[in-house]
Amino acid sequence: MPEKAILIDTTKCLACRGCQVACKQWNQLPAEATRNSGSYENPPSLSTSTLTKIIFQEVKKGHDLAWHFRKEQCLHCSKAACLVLCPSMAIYQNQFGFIEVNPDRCIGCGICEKFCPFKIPQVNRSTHKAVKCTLCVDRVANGLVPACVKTCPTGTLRFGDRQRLIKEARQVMSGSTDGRTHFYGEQECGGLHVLYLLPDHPSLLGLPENPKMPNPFEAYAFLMDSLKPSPFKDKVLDMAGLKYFGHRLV
Amino acid sequence: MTNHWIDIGNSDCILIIGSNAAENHPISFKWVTQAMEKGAKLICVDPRFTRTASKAHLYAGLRSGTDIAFVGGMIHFILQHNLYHEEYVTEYTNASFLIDSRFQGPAELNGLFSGYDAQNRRYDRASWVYQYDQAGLPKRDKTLQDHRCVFQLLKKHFARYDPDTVCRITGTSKEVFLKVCETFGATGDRGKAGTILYAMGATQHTNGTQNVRTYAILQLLLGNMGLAGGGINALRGENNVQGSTDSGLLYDLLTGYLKVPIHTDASLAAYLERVTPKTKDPLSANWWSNYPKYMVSLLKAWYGRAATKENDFGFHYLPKPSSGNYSHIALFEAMAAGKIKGLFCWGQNPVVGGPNANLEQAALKNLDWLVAVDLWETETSIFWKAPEVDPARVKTEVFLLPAAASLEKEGSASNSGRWVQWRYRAVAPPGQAKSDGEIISRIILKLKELYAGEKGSAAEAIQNLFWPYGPHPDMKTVAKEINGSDLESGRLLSSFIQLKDDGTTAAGNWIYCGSFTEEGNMMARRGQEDPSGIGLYPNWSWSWPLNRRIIYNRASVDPEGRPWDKRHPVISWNEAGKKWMGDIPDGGFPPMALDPEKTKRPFIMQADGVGHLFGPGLTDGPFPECYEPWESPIKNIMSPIQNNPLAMVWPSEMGRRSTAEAYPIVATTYRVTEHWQTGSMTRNLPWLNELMPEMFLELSEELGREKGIKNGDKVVVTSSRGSIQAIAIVTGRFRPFKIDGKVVHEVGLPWHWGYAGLARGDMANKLTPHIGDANTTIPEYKAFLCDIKKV
Repeated sequence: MPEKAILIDTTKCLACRGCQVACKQWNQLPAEATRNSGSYENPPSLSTSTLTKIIFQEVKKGHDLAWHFRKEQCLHCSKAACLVLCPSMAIYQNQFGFIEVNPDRCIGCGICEKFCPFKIPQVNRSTHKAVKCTLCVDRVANGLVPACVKTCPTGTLRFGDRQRLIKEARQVMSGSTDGRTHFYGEQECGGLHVLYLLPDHPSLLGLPENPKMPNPFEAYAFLMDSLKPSPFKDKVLDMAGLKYFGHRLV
Repeated sequence: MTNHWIDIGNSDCILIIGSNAAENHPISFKWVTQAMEKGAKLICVDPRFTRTASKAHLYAGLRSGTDIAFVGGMIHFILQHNLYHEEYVTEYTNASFLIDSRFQGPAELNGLFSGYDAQNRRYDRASWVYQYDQAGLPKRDKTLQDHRCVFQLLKKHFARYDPDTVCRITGTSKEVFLKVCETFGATGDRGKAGTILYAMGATQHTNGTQNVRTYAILQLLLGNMGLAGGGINALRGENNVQGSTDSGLLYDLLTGYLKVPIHTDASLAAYLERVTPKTKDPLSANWWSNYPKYMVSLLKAWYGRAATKENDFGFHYLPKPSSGNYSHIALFEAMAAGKIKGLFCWGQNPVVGGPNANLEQAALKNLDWLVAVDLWETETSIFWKAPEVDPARVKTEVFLLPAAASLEKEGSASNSGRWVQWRYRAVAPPGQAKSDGEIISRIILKLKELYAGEKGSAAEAIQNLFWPYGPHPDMKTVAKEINGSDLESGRLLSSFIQLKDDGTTAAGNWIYCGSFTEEGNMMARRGQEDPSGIGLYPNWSWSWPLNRRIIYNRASVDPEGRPWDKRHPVISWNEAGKKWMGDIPDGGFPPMALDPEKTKRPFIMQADGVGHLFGPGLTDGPFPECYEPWESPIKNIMSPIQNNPLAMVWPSEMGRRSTAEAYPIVATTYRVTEHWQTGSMTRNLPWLNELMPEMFLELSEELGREKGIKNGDKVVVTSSRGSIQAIAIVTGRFRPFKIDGKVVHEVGLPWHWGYAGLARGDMANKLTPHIGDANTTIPEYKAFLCDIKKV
């Protein structure tokens, strides 16, 4: 099974936010009660009921103004910090290359939320489960494209074989780029399954220029703090210790 | 639209002006993006840096209400630099026609045209006419040199619109303005096509119609009318608003753009004599000379056997108003004066959507009864319990009829590109909700019952109304009546060419003739073939007129019948077969140069057969002239005449005008992607409310500093008509304008909110004036004065 991905050409995005609503519709997620805080952007951040959103970014360059829109969501890293750090082995990579959370194994420790280089996963404080975009694996496994891709009117979002999309993106970047300055996601974190064509530096659109794997000592310390005293605490820490300091991270 | 949505993808240059297509018509950008991928340039002209502007190669800011100066300046530039398409202009427009020697324009008459009657605020248009020769044909000078020819008069008129003057008025940077002129002007090259997309930002002004006229002049000069990727394209704000105007929902039109009779039309013959255009020119098809056939067929559709030659086919059953203006503002002024006793609001919410909301809401109290037909409670249906209203003091009896939503009923919807698309009922309406067809049919049947046996012409009009539908009308039966049939054979017609004026044919709407024929429901077709290669898809649904996808398409070819644009041929002449290939031609007449006997000029709906650079049909001038909005902080720089002298002004506005001293800030209103119109549908959907929860005001960082307003602060916005609260969005997307050396601030307000529904907020239209365009009376929502302060 070739790996799949979404290629997001932010230069074509209108911020119509059809993707934001389609995500909620397919995943049956409730609306959040929001306020206008002086921006079109809403909700203010990802949450357990908002798995994707458009970030609005005004950038001034001399007298000119640019208004960039970037779809934020789980980028499904090939070397995913969340997967590596998860002490309960709840996070795994599926046959399409997407990163999934198995809720039956998730203990809600929050390490994925804390150490994701893109700040994506969210732990539901009442169910104690981590949630994030699944890339609509339930649709993809049935031959459909993700809900956000289906609703996009301009072709900003395209879904397909990861290698083919990379080839197309490279072609764009080597030809008349028409305002696109960066191709993001081919190498970052071992290769993302959500790739971006960007009109400016990644950092101006809220993406880390060089996303890094977290420091295992910090991660272990966080886990020691965050785990509630329980008969399983030592077992979980042992597993995490093995993972972090055994062969995976150090 | 003269063209259609898919066709935007064929364009070389897309000028979006008076429209925020990316936000209000996101799907349009499927085609805009496609064109851009093929190298098309996108220009956005708007007072605000919108989501559309964010995608444009060129963004030009302009102060609200200065569109005529801006586009007039483009016309000036194109004439100055000879960028116009000379052969097109000479052959297909009235550029070469000579104008009556009495005609004078604002350059000579200080801002007015000849014939102005100041007392009655109207023009006597007697001098706005061609010179005719002895045979009764318009005199022409095809060298375009005669100083009385339209081309020279046009040049003279727009000579005053030089870049410096224009930018002094609009506040646009001269450098950007010139780039816009060059970029769009380049589509004047043979084989290039530029399109204009516009919407309410163009029309909702006291100069609204003339704003659109500037586009027509520009597109005729550049030879962009009739071409694929060209045209003037009105992006309609509702999925079937094209269908509503086609079907005569405006007060002054019957179906198919036939005119409502007036009180002086003593007979059908007198009416037809008044409205049917005439010409002696053998080169003009003058299609409207068929007017009597369409009118008589319409009367036969409406009154059936009761329409006879003896009773003028029921012509006298039609109301013949004498005042002439029953537009939205006029109706609410009459309601405020207590002259109107009952109102049906059918999917309309004037308390939020109408101008001067305080006045309009108060006017509803004068009604005896109000019927609202809608999906949810609207502000209009609950005006009697509005926050500031005491229900005990409202005597109006209000009925709310629950309506079926679009997916709960069968029928057709006509999109902006004139495609009439059939759709089916997906689910039954909930509860007691009924389709519009059922609601209206049951009302008519009840009226017929109430008037049965009564005498008099009013009763007769209802008794004789042909209404074969019953309480649960079948929409296909209705569609067949709209299409029309031969009354002798009973067969459905396939073209309006078959319509007659002797009462033997009936058609509810002549332009829809061919939509439902003996071959079946053409609107339900879903064929995906595109033999044209330019996205015409002739077997997908049906497009009026006659399934023509691009109107004025005979102007897309040269006089020999060869496409100007070889890459995107709309039609081309096949000399061997003696016929046109491609789209349905705009009249099947042979090319002008090949068959001078049988040919006709391409603009067949004009009595002279050519596109109108000089347009004598409007009330306020044959050329567009720059005037300031009704409320403006600036004295008109172009002439001493401040406002459009024919703007529709009502007594409620007299003495109420916001002055620049008290209200120095220009304001404009608009919509956002996330809500729709008055919000009666979208503000009841939590997912959309999450995206756009609250009423807001957008302002520049400079104005924010001046007023001590920070991003997210609560502000009060005031005009002479009312005051509202909103959340401030302080942004670099708004910039102060430098107008004639003076700083002018502009702010923007969406108008989606009200006091009904889940997400509530103040109504922007409490601030807007009861002032209308000189030709259409559309309210001036897009430019007025206000002041703001932090709460």
